[in-house]
Amino acid sequence: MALDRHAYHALEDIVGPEYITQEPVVLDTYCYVWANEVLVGDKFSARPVAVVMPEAVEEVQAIVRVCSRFGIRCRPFASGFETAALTASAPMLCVDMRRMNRIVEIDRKNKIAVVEPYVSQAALFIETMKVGLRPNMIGAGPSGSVLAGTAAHFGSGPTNISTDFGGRNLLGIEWVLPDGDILRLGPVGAGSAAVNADGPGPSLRGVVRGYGGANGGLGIFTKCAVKLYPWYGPPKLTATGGPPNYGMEVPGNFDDYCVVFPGRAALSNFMHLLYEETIAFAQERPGLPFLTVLSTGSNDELYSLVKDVPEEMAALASYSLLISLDAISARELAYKRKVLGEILRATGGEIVPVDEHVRGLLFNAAVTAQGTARAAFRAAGSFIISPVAEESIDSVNAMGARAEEEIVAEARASGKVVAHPPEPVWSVIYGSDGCGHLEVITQYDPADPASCNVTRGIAQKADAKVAEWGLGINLLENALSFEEASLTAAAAHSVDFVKWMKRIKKAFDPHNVAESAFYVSPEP
Amino acid sequence: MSLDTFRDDLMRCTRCSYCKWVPHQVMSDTRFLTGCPSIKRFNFHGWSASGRVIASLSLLKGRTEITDRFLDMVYQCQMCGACDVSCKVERDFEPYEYMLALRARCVEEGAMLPEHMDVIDGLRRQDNVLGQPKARRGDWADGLTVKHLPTEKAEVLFHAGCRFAFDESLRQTVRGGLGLLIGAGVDVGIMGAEENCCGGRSYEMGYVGEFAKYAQHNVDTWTTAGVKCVVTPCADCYQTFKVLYDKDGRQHTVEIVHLTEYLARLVKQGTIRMRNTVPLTVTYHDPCHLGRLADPWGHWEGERKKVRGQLLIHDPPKRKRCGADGVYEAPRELLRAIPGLTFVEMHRIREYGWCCGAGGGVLEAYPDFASWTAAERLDEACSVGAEAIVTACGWCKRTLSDAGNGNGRGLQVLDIIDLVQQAL
Repeated sequence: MALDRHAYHALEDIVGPEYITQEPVVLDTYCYVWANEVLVGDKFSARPVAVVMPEAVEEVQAIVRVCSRFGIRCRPFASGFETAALTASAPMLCVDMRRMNRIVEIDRKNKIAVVEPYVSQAALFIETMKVGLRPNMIGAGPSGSVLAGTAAHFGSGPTNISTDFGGRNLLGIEWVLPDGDILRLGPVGAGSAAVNADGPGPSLRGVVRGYGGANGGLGIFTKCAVKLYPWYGPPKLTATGGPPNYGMEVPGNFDDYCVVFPGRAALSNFMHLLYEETIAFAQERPGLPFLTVLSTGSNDELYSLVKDVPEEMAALASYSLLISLDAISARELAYKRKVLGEILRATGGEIVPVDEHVRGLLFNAAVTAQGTARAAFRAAGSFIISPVAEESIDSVNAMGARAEEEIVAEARASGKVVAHPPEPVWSVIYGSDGCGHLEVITQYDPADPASCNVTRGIAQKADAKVAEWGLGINLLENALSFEEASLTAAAAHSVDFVKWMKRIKKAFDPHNVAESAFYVSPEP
Repeated sequence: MSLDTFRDDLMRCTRCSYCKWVPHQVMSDTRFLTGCPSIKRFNFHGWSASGRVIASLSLLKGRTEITDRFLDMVYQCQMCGACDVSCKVERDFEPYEYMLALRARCVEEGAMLPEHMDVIDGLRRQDNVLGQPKARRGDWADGLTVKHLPTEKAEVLFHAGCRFAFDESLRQTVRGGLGLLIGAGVDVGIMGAEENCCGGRSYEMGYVGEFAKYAQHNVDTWTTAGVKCVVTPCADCYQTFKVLYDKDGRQHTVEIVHLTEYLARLVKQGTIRMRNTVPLTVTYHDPCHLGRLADPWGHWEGERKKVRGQLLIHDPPKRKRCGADGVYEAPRELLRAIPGLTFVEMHRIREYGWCCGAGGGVLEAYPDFASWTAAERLDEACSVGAEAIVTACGWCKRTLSDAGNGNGRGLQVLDIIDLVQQAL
């Protein structure tokens, strides 16, 4: 579908000719995102009519108004490293936020940073380390957008045990509403005086994010304020070695471990205690499988390492965690080590011995989330997350087990997905309430139609199973599907969640200007 | 390999954008996080390795045709290989090879940039990529007492390369380089007007046939001349001789050495003694072709197969070539050996160094982009307090010098040869 020429000229007038394109091949680079082949059956989803690249909120505002006037849907793109960046509607305009890449402010006293959409986690971390602070790190890793992971998408990651997930870190926002109005909330609107959540005033955080983030479905966020946390490491990290397995010097006041447990119950008990004792800087499950990927530079190395491991030993790998401790002093670190030792003893956990290089890799993975992309994608080319659980620690671990029995085992036996040890999950604990977050991981080959089919089957089965179990979330991590039909099916099991989301969408975007895929349409 | 052979891998990019940045472990300053000049300058995703991977798939699927803008997207890239290093930290992927194949595909389909066609025309007529008269290729050495091969015999062939041979602004440097070897008593000779292009630039532009012609000719020439070692001050020639000829299956027994490596040996042996103080704070610009792109080619024969369901492996295992084994230490050893010189590193160095801007046919087709890229590098050098940026390649020196002219930075652009000469 071609863009109306009047609309094109209107957009060109806003951003200038260098920052708009209708070239088919360039447009194709915006409708190819990971998992398209599972979601829409092809690497390419609907081709957008154009891509524009604004530099300021006023330009975004003008772009949204043009979209509204000409009946074009729009969706912001930050890094585009997410299934939710899918292009689904026609005509649709991609708004690439790449030029809005400024760290607006780091308020050391109030522990707040204000960033534009294209500020990566890596960039913000580099700057905050200099003043003894750090942000939440989402699992997408260092290239992920801070704004996307905080305001627009879920935001789970390895440091969640000490920072909580993205939704708890959003303090304010600059928001271009679908009608083109600009709304500024929290420190973004009121300056960086100390504020409570996104106040003063009534909070709109629930509206902005819903459960898992609106993924662009409510307009375009052009700034967000995020919470920062104390950083006890040096002002700058020091890499060692070379590619592909750079190491990292571990500061004296950090400790990093891989721990294994004799079974799921012991693992759950340990996770409860780890949360209660508030000693951890970072934590993620699984430990051993992640460690083996981190410490190998290629699939060839990985296979050489694991191919002779007996099945019963490999099975234990599921019940393992990576844990990092940080401390402001040697005494505090000694205390945390002691506590860790005690709760390991109480739960039957054991520390896996690692050398200094691997310890550096664990440290890096904990503080920057580096390595999750390798762990997710290197094996076969792609992966999906389905189902997901967002419940108590015991519940999420139970769902991992049920998913293994009722969904994953059969798929594994087909040989069409990567055959992990049982319970292939990624899981973290949220520090504020001890809630668990668990994602069932399926790795598949996007170039192999049979592999894609089996993976699609897993997602479909998960849709049905979470309703049957009354536990978990269906496809991906947003409680939302890109398909209206799936949403309708989920509505009966969602305690009016879908109904309320639709009401919010209708109130803020009655004409559905903001792309609805991975959010909700305003239709009842 | 043709683009079609990579079809499956083209479907496995996940658009993570790691190819745009230097590896995250080595990021040190938020001003200098990007590794890819192309995406930094042109912004749209197509101007990244991932974008070109997607474009390749789009082309293979018949979704797009090769237009002028398509060619801009393909060729506004120095083929510096920074993307390849960063991608391989996370993935078993070969973005550099896919991009080479895309260029070759464009040429096969007759979709060529006029500026590149001029270069290739000049190459065909004059055996150099600058289109200069072949008869004058040896003029740079006029007045030097040196053996001329193959009429005379020498153990070491000094190969100047097209840029050093014809660029008068580099004349003092290349003569100095040869002079250092002669002064050290090395049994060295040159080919003079009979020297030919290495073919590397044509390879990067996608003209694979031209490359093959020069590869065979040069290997035959070395064999006929009976040289044991080819020394070149040009990073592009070095990479072409050492890596691309090997990749292309050209058999020879000649040792390929960059001049900085050779000089570092001579310094270690005590044959060259640097006694003069050079009171200058310098930083070193790693030429892409001497650094990451010079990582030796790894020949591998076997099968790519799936185990444990869909885990993709090579059988037998294949070495991952990710830039770590380029020439990084020899130039630094030379700089550290110069009395009085203060050496400071930039933020993007070694396998994750920022390109000078000249490679891949960019200097010829998009000179403004080349100059912009070089200016970024000069700014980085200034940011670490350097008074001079030192490199080890004629292409880099010329491009950095041109970008530095009249911009008020006050930064000198030097080749290591210039500094070694000063220190003698």
